[in-house]
Amino acid sequence: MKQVNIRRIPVRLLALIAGLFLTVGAFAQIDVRGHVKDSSGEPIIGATIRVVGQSQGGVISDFDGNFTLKANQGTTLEISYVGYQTARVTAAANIVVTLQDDAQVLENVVVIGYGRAKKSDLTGSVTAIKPDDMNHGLQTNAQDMLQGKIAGVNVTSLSGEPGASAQIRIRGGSSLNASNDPLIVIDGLALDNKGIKGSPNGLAMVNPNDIESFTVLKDASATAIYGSRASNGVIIITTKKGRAGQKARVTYSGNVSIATPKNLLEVMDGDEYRTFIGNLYGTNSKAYKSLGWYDQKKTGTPTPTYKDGKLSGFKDYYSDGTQHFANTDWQDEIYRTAVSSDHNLTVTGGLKNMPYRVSIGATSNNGIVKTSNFTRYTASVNIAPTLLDDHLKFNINAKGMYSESRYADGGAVGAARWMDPTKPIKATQNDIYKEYFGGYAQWISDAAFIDPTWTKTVNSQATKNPVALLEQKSDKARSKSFIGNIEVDYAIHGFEDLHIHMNAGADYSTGKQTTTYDRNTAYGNDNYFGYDGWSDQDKYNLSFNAYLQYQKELGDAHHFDVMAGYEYQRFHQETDWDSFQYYPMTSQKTAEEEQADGTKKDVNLAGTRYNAPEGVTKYKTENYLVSFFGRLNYSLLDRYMLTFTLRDDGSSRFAKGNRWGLFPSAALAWKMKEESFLKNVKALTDAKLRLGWGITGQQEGISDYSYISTYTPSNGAHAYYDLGLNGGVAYRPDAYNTDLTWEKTTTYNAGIDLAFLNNRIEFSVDWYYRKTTDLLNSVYVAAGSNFRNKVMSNIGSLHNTGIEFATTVRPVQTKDWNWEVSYNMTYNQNKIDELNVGGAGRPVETGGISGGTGNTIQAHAVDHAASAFYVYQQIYNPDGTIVPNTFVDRDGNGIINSDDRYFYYKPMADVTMGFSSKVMYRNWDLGFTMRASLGNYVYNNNLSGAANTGTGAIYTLGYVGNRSLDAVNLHLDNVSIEQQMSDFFVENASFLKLDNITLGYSFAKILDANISGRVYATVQNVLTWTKYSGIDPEVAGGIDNSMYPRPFTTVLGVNLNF
Amino acid sequence: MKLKNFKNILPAAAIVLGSLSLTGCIGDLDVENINPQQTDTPNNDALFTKVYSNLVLTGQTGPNGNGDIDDIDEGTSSLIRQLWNANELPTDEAHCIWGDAGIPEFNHNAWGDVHPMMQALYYRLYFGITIANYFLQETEGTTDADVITQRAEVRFMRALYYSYLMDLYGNVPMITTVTKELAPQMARADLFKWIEGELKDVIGEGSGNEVMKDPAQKVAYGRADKAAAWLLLSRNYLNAEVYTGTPQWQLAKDYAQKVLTDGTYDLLTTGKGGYSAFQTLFMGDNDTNGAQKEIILPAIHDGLRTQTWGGCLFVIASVADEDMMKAYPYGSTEKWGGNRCRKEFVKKFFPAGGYNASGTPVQNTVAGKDDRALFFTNGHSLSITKESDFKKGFAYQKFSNLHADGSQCKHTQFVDTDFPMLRAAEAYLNIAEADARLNGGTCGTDGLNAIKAIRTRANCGTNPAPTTFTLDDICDEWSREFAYEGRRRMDLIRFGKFGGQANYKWEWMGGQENGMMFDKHLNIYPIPLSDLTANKNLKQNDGY
Repeated sequence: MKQVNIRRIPVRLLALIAGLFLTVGAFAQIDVRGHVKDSSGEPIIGATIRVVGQSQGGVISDFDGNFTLKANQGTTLEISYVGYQTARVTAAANIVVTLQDDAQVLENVVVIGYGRAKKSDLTGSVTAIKPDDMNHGLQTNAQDMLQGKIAGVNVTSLSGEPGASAQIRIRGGSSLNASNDPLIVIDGLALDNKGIKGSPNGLAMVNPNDIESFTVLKDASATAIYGSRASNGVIIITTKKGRAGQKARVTYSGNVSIATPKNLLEVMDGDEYRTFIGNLYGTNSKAYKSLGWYDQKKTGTPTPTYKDGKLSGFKDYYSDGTQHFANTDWQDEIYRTAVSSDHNLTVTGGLKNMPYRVSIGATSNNGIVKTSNFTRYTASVNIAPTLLDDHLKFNINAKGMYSESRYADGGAVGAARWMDPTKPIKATQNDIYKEYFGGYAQWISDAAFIDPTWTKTVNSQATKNPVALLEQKSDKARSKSFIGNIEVDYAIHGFEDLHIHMNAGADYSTGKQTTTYDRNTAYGNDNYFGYDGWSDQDKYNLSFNAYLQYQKELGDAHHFDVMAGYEYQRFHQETDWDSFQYYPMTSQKTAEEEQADGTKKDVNLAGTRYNAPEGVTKYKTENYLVSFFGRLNYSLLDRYMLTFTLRDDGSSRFAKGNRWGLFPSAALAWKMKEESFLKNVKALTDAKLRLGWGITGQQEGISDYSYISTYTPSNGAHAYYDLGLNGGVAYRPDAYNTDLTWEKTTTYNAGIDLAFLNNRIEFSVDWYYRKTTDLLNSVYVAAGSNFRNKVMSNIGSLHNTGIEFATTVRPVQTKDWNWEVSYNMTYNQNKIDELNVGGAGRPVETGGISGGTGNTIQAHAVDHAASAFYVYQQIYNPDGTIVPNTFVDRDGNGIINSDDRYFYYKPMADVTMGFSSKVMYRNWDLGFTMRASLGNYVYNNNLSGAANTGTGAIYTLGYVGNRSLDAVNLHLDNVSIEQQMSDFFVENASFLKLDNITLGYSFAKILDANISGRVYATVQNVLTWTKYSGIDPEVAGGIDNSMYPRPFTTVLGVNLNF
Repeated sequence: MKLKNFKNILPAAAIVLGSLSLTGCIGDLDVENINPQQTDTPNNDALFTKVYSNLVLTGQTGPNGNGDIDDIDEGTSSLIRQLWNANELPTDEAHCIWGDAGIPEFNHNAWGDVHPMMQALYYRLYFGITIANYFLQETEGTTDADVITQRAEVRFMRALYYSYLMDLYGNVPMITTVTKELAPQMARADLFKWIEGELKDVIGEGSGNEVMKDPAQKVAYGRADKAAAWLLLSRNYLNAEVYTGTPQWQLAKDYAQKVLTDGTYDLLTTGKGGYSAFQTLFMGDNDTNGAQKEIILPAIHDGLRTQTWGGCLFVIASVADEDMMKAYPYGSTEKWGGNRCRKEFVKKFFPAGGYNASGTPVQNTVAGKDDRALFFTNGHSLSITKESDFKKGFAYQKFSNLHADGSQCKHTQFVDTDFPMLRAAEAYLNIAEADARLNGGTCGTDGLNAIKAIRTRANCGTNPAPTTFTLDDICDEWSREFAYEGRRRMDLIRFGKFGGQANYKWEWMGGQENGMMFDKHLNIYPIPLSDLTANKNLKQNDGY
C-alpha cells in the first residue's frame, strides 16, 4: 500500500465496509461483472464501485479484484480507490477497469515527526521528495539521492573511496564542536547515523532501492518535535511497502559501472626528476646518489664495527653495485579502472490483508585505488497487516546489512605523488629489498643497534613505496547491522478519532576491522616486525515511543489534531582492539621471565609478540534519552493553520538539575489561495504563507559521562612510570563539569509556496534565521581548578541566516513529450556572535594541516564564519609572483608572528544550487543533474606542502621526494611555516559540476514475455568548471590534502518487472 | 461512554501497559560510568606516581592516546620537550628548522601572549601541581610514615613545578588545593619565598614532620630525596636576584655544598664500554651504568614501558638525521632533523676554529680536547645560513639511547635514556658561580676547585687553563656542561645576556641573521591569554 494519511483510512474503509451491506435499488437493471486492476495488471481489492448520482450504495472489489453490481445499462459507474485516480466507465455486462496511480494524492501526504500531514496543511519548512527513478546518478547510499535535490540541503561525499560517507548539512552548521549532522529517522525510528566500524556511512544499511520517500524537516517548527536531536534538521526516510491483496510481483534492478580516475596531480617523471635533482644538488651529490636503485648483493655476514674503540654498528655486508634509474609513474601504478555492480531483487504483494515486501540487494563496489573495495548485502522485509476491521494496523520492518570492505592504505594516494619516480616498484637484483622489504624498493635505514640479525629497516620519515603500501597490507573490515521496528496503530473502537500509536525498535550493529602487514613491510615507523591487529565495535540502540492522537472537527470551521507522546532511547556502544608486532625469528633479544618456581630466566624473544597492549583495551559507554512531547494542530476554515509543539528531553549526559531541556515551537500558515480574492484567479493553483519559530537542542559531541568524577589509570603497555609502586601504574583524575547543559538553537522561518497553471510552475521561497546559544565548547578553565586545562562548557553563540528558493517547472506536458526542470538555490551565511574560549577575542584554531606539528589554517572567531581561514597576508612582486616568506605586518609591531594572521574567506559556500532536467519522449527519457557552489574556498595543502623545492627540502633525512609541476613552478627554495600558511594557498573553489547524465528507455514487454522495465546508461561526475588549481574543488571542510579522488563513472543498468 | 466499548479498549490498554513495561523509566537517566578504562576507586600510590610521571609521560596510554593537555599535539605537550624548547631555542645554543606552530617564535624571540607551546608548558606544569594538590588533599592527616614521606616528595615536586613557573612566567597563579575558586596571582618574589618555605619544610629545616629521605636512604630509583631539594634551593638562590631583586649567593653556595658534603651524589668520573664518563651520563642505561651516582633526579624513560614522543626521544631524535644515524648510531630509528647549533655555541668549544669539519661527535671531542664537544659536523656548515636547512649549523649529539654496557636497546624507536632533571655537576657550577659573584667577579679557591672538578671530568686538560675564571668564563662553562639540557635561557638572563641587551648576540637572535636585540620583557614569558581570560585575578606580565 502506498503512503497515505493513516488517520483518514479507518474512516474511509469503515464507510466502504458499511457500503457492502447496503442494497442497491433495482429497475431496468443488468448484472455488471467487472474487474479492477492497476497499471501493472495487479488486481485491486477493496476498490469502491458505485453508480454516479447515487449517494448511497455501491460495492467493493473482492480479493481477485472482481465485483458484481446491478445497474441500469448505460449509466456511469465510478471506481475509486485510495491512492489511485478515480475512473468512470459506462455500465456494461463485462468491464475491466485499470486505475492509474494518483501521483498527486500521494504527493499530498507527507510523513512528519510522529505522524503524517497533508502537504497543504503544513506550517513548517518541510520538503518531501520521492526519489526520481529515472534521473539519478550512481546511488550506492541514501545520501546520494539527496545531492543537489533540495534547497538548503548540502550533501558532499567525503571522497571517492568505496563505502565512504557523505557530509549532510541542512542550512549550514548550527554548532562548532557538537555535531552538525541531521537526525535521520527511518520508518519512525531515529537512527544513530554514525555508522559502524567497517561501514562508516550510517545510512549504508538502507538500500536506496527500498526508499519510498524522503522528508526533510528544515525549520524548528517542524523539527522541534524531535527536540534535542533536531538542531541540524531531520531527514525522515520511509521505505516501500506492499499492498493488501496484491499478487506477488517481482522486480529486479541492477547495474554495472566502470569507474576511472579523472584528474591526477601532475608530477615530474623519472627523467625530469633526475635532471631536477642533478641541477639542484649536482650529480655527485648524496641526493643524486640516493636516486634510483642499486644491484646490492649480500657479500658476507654481519660483523660488529668499532669507532674510537666503541661498537658503532655492524658492517655493511652489502656491496654497493651500480646505480640504475627506473621511470615509474606511481600514480599510474596505484590507480585502476574499476568495475562494480549492483543487484536488487524485490518481491511485493499482499497476502489478504497483510501486505508484504521483501528485498535483497548486493553491491560490489571496487575503488579506483587498487585493492580497495566494498561489498554490501542488504535485505529488508516489511509486513503491514491490518486487523480488527482496520482498527489495528501493524507495520513491521526488518533491515539487515552485511558488508565487507578492504581499505587501500590511506597513505598511498599521497605517497604516489611524493615517491621518487626513478625508483622501480620492485628490484629483485637488490638483496636488501629482497631480504627486508619483500622485493619492493624502499628508502632504507640502518637498525643494527637493536638487533644484529636484522640490520636494515625502512627510513621512517621517507615516502613509502605506494604499491607496497597497497599490496603488503591487508586491511579488511566486516560489519553487520540490523534495524527492526514494530509500529502499531490502533484506532479505538467507538472513538475512531482517537489513535494510539506505538513504535518499538532496535538497532544492532557490529563491525570488526582486521589489519595485517607483511613481516617485511614499510609499515609506519616500526616496520620490520610486521603487524597484526584488529579493532571492533558493537552497538545497540533501543528505542520506544508511543503517542495518542485525537482529531476532532467542530462544525465546519474548526479542526483539531492533538498528539501527545513519550519516547525512550538507549544508546550503547563497546569497542575493543588488539595490535602487536613480532620479534623476527632470527632475533637474539632476550627478556627476563619469571618461571613457575619463582626463579628468573632469560628467554629468547624470537617470534614473540612485540608492542602488544597490556591492560584494558575494552571501552564501553552508553547514554539514555527520555522525552515527552506533544503537538497541537488547529485549522480554521481550512485557511488558517496553527501548529504548536513541545518536547521535554532528559539526557543522561547531563547532571541532575541540568538534565531536562524544554523545546517549544509554534507556526502559522495561511492558505491564501482559499481566500475569496484569490479563489477565482485561475492561473494561481496554490498559494500559502508560512511563519514559524522554534527551539531545538543539542547534546552530541560531548562524552556520556562528562559530569561524573572518575580516574583514568595508565593503560596500554607504554604509560607506566616505575617508582616501585603498583608496577608503575599512574592514575589521572578525570576532569568533569556538573554545570554542562543543552546547546540550544532558535530558528525563525518565513516562507511562501506558490503554484501556477495547475502546478506546471511551482515556487517555494524561505527565509530563515537560526541562532545557536550555549554552544558546547571545550573551554579553558583557570589553571589548577580542574584536572584538565580545557573542560566542555556552554559558551558562545552563532547564527546562520539564509534564503532558499526552489522551483519546478513543467514546460512541456503532452501525450508524447514531458519535460520537467527543477532548480533550487540556497544562500547561507554563518557567523559567530560570541566566543570566549581561549581568551577574549582570541580565535579558536582548527583545521590541522600537513606541514609542521600543530599547525592549523582555520579558526573560529567572533564576527567571522566558523572555520574561516586564518592566514598570513602574502606580499607580491609587481609581476604577481610572491615575495617568499614576506608578509604584511598587520599588527605593525615590527615582527611577523602568529598575531599577524588575519581572516580570509571560509570553506562554506555562500550559495549552492542544484539544477536538474528530465525530458521524456514516449519511451525515452533523458535527464541530467548539475550542482553549483559559489564562494567556497579551499586551502590547497597539496600545493603548500610541496611548495619548498629548494636544497633544504627535497633531500632531507636521507631521502628525496617528488614534487608536482605546480609546486616546482613556484620556484620557492626556502619556505617558512608562515609561507605555508599564506593566503596565497587559499583558493576560490567555487564550482559548477555536471554530476550525471542519464539516458533511458522504458518498455512494456520483452519478446512477448510479460516483463516490463527500463534500460539506462548514466555517466557520473562528468564535468567540473572551476578556477581551483587542485584536482577537485569539492572538499568537505576546505582543506585539500591527498583526498581519495572521485572517479568518473559510467553506469549501465536495467530495471525489470516480472 | 457505552459499556460495550470497554471490550474494544482492551487492545489499547494492552499497548499502554506494554509500553510502560518496555520503557524503564526516567531513572535510567541516572547513569554510572560503565567504561572499564575508568574507575571511581581512588589509589594514592597511583596518584603519587602520576605526580612524577608528569615529567615524562604525556597521557594515560603512551606514547599517544588519551593525552593530559588540550590544544597541543600529545608528544609536543611533553614537559621536557617544552622546557627544552623554551630554554634552548631562544638562546645561543640551538635553532630548530621545523615549522611546528610556535617554533619560529622561539627561534626568533618573537612570541606574544598566544603561543601554543608556551601555553602547553604552562598547563603541563599546572597539571603536575593540580595532581600534587589533589594527592595532598586526599592524604591529609595521614599517620602512615610511608605516606608522610610521599607527601614530602609531592610537596618537593610541586615546588619544582612552581620553580619552573617562577623562572619562565614570573608572576603566576598560586593554588594549593583543587578548587573552582580562582587562584590569586602571586608576585615572582613572593613565589620565591613560598617555594623556599616549602623546600625547607621537606628537608627538615622548616615546620612539620613531612620530611624527605636522606640521600642514602632513598626509597626507590626515580624518587626525590633531600639532595634534590638542596640542589633546587641552591638553583633558586643562584637566580634570586633575577626573581626577587635581592641576590642570595652565599645560600646558593651553601646548599650546593650540602649536596656534595652528603657525598651520596657526585660527579661520575669513570666511563664505561669505551664511552667517556660524560657520555655515559646521557645513555640508554644511565639508570644502571653508574650515572645514577650523579643524577639526583632522573626523569625515567623506558623504550617499552615508558614511551613518549617528547622527553629524551625528542632530545635525541630532534638533533639527528639519516646521515648521522649512519655515521654515528644513537640507538633509535627516529631522526627528526630539527635542532642544530648556532655558531656561538660551537665557539664555546672552538673559539678559534679547529673543529673537525667532517667529524663525528667522538672525533670532535678529540679535536676540541673536551669530552663535551659532541658535535656532528660531517656534511654540516658552521653557520645557519638558511633557516630551513638542517645541514646549516652543526648537530650536537650529547644524548644517545645506546647502552654503555653493550646491551641492546629495548625498542627501535623509543628510548631508555633517563633525562637528568637535577645532577651533581650543577652543584659544582653553582658553587663556582656563587663564589665568583661573592669574590667580585672571579672565582676564589672554592670556585676554582669546582670548575677544575667539572673540567677534569670532561678531560679538558688546559683548554682554557682554569687558573683564573671570570663570570663570562662561567657563563660559557654552563653552556659547555649543560648544553641541550634545557636551561640555557635561565643562565643567560642571570648573566644579563638575554633580552634588552646587544652586547652579546647570536645568529638569528631577534629574527635577524646577524642577531638583533630583542626587548627585555621577553625575559619572562607571558601568562597565556587563555588563563588570563579564565582567571580574572591575573594580570599580564609587563610588556605583553
